[in-house]
Amino acid sequence: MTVNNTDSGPDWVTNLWGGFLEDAVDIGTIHGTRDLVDYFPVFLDLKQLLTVLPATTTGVKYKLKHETGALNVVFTNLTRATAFDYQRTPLTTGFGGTELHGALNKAPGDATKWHLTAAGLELPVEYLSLIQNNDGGVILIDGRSATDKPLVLAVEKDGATIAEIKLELRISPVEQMFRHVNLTGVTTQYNGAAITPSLSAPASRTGDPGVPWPDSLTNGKYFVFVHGYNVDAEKARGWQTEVFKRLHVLGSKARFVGVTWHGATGKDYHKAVFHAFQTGNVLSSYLSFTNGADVTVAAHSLGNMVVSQAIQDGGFAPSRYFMINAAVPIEAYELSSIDAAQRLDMTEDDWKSRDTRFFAANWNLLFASTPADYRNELTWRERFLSVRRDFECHNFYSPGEDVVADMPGVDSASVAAAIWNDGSDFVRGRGAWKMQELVKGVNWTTSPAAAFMERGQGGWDADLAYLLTPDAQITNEQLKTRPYFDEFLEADLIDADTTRASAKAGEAKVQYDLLARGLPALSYAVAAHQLGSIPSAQNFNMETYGRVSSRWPTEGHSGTTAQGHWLHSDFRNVALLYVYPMYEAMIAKGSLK
Amino acid sequence: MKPMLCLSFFLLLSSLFGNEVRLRVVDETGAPVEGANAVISFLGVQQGQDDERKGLTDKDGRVSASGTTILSICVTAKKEGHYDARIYNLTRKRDIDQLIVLPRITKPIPLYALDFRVGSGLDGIRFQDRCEWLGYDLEAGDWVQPYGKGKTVDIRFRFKNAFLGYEVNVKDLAKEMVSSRRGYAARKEEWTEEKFKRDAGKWDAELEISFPGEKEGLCEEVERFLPYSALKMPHQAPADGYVPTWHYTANNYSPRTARENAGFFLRTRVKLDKDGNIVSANYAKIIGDFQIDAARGHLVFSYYFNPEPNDRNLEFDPKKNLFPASFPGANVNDP
Repeated sequence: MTVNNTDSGPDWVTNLWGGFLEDAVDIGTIHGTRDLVDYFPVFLDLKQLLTVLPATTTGVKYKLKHETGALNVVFTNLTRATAFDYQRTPLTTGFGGTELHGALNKAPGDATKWHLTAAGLELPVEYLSLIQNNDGGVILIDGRSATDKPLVLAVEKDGATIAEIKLELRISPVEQMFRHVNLTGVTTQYNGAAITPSLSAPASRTGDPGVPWPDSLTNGKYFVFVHGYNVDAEKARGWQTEVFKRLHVLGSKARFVGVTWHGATGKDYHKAVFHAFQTGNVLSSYLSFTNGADVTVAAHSLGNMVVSQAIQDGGFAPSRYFMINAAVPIEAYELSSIDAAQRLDMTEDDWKSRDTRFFAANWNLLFASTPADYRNELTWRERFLSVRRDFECHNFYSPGEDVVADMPGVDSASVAAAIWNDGSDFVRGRGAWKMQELVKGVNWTTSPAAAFMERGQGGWDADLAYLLTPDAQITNEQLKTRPYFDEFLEADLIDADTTRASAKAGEAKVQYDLLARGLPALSYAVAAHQLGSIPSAQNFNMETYGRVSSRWPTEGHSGTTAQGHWLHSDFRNVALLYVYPMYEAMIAKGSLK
Repeated sequence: MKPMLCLSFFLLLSSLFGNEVRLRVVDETGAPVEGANAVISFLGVQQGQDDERKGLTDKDGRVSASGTTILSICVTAKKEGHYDARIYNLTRKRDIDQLIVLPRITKPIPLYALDFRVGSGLDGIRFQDRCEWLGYDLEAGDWVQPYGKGKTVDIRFRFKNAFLGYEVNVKDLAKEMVSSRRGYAARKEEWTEEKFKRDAGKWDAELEISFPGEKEGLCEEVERFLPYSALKMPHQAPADGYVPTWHYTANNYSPRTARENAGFFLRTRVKLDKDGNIVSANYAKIIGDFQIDAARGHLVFSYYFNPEPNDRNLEFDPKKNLFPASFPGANVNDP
């Protein structure tokens, strides 16, 4: 069991990224349905004892005790057979309220929790009657602080203890139950200067966690989770603990590994992409402790850039890979599902009528006749081909995406500013991912959104040198040394000396920086789409199959486009009882039990 | 380059003129639906910033609203006793006249409903590399014997594919094979060149569809297909218009062509009298196109089969799937 120390909320978390509380705060009630994952059912099997020693016997008291006061208890009318229903069904009643002797008529999210002390909490006779006559007896236990002292059921007569039943248990901070890899220190500035994130992540913990969740209790497999953009070190702890707990309560026996990387770059999303490539390069070496075991890696949003780079170029070879709402362009994996309409919709409005050979996204094609020239590699197209072709890649996507939505028809860099300003944290803004593609290369006079990016190059800003030249008179040879778009920051890329230019294009940091800031994708993000090139069974539509039919929270899902939809971070933001089919799918696909 | 003034100018224009959205709501017969709740949302950048205009349709089924947005417009229409409609991403670039059909909820019934579509996480139906006609039993949800547990052939498929060579992205075959081997090793599967061909090759494929009996066949439904509605196809299969064969081509190297705004009705298990008249037949519907994986030979589609002879009703009650809940693909939520 774990100390209840993560964020919570009614059905949908309001503190979106989730703060991480070091100490549990007891405010007297369950903190909404999202908090239920922190509770563990215990069945009080007292029917026989109550027959021998009825609760109504004069002087007899049944008490629950805990020596160090580290536990809370919630009374329920659940039976042994229905003990786990609260994790999968939105119950509206059956839980105890503020009156200890009152009816069990509260919804789980509104139930009152009672502190168990050394002196003990007397079980109400009404509850004991429920056990004796109606097969009740399931209580939910919640950890307030770490302990290895047992939960005690004591039977007292006239103040003397005449019987005790002990349930051995251990309550530990949840992070002690899984491994952690801190990669926040591996990223550097473009010039190689070190970066110090504003918040420090916990040190890596890669050995056997030991008590309370030793490797000997696991199945020997690993489940690695990589978070997305704008998740700082503290938020990463919240993400990791939440995903771990959800898998754990649903029966995963895999060894969980949370990876923290430096993707919290404020509004400069492009910088986070640069960091994602750098992090991907080293991920495999930091996971060497998995030592040939079966490894499932799951990533959310921009975390998929980290994992895809790790597989493509970083020597990482997981047994399977779960992409969750991947904020990576489709073309990085496949070309066959991208039609002309999609390419046009991803083209900035001012460029729609221009010759496509002028695009930064297509500049590499000018060098197709010289395959050895590294400038051929300056493209998103099939950047991560090996990932979907050579590895078992499962795409958990959601057509109801919000921040990584396609937003067809929204294609102007000038409009992008309004969206990016509100949505660059990838929490609220519709189409925010698309917007960062449309502002690549532009300067702040074209789109104020560009002001949030540390610097720009290439992209959707035109070089005025060609302003008066008819398109037909602009040759491909000219474009090699004087592109139509805004200049590159590395002038060597257009050097007349092709050896020099190719060598510069072959530098990893140059490629990462160009992909992040200067080469717009001409396809939507995977997050909202199936991938046609992987087996159909490996595409998983979370909206249709990842949740229970006709059940979805309204909180956080207001308005016509959000209502009923699976939004970008809902696999973590929405309470488990709504999204457990998605987690069960991950457990089944990874054989994690 | 556009000056920042463009943004201000654009927003100014939008706020001055905006869009008018005019809806007309009818039922499946074309009769106006009066009193339907319509919500016309002019989308804001965030949830909660939408400019939502709500109204009831008049006697002629009409309702309209004006508003501004820098994104797009979304419309919903609902009425008790009808299936809901929801349309996304209407353009902000011009005024809109939109007809919305709200089919009535008439008689939802239990059906055999299976969903093998891409996105279900299911593998689809495998052809197992046989270039021969294979029969599929819609009621059993399986190939007929000896390839499955089915007993009655409702529909027959023949699949062929051909390897055309490696894709252009396979520049260095030896290097790519090393990468491929790495992936197979990671999941502890045996690597073969045949598998690599399927993973990295260009494939053309052909799917033929036929039926075993006279007057059996399928009937394409495009005109009355409602992609925005919970009930996408007409309540009943048509009495006529069935053709005995259908043919698809597919490949894995150019954009997919599978349609999401079309479906099919099927007529199977036909019994004829001595004059060739139909005395008994079963009906089914398929939502969307048949989709095939050209390289791997997987077929995916979503179907609803009515086991009651001569009952053309295909309005499904999602709570009454005749397949058990544990049957792979039986999690069908649409009527």
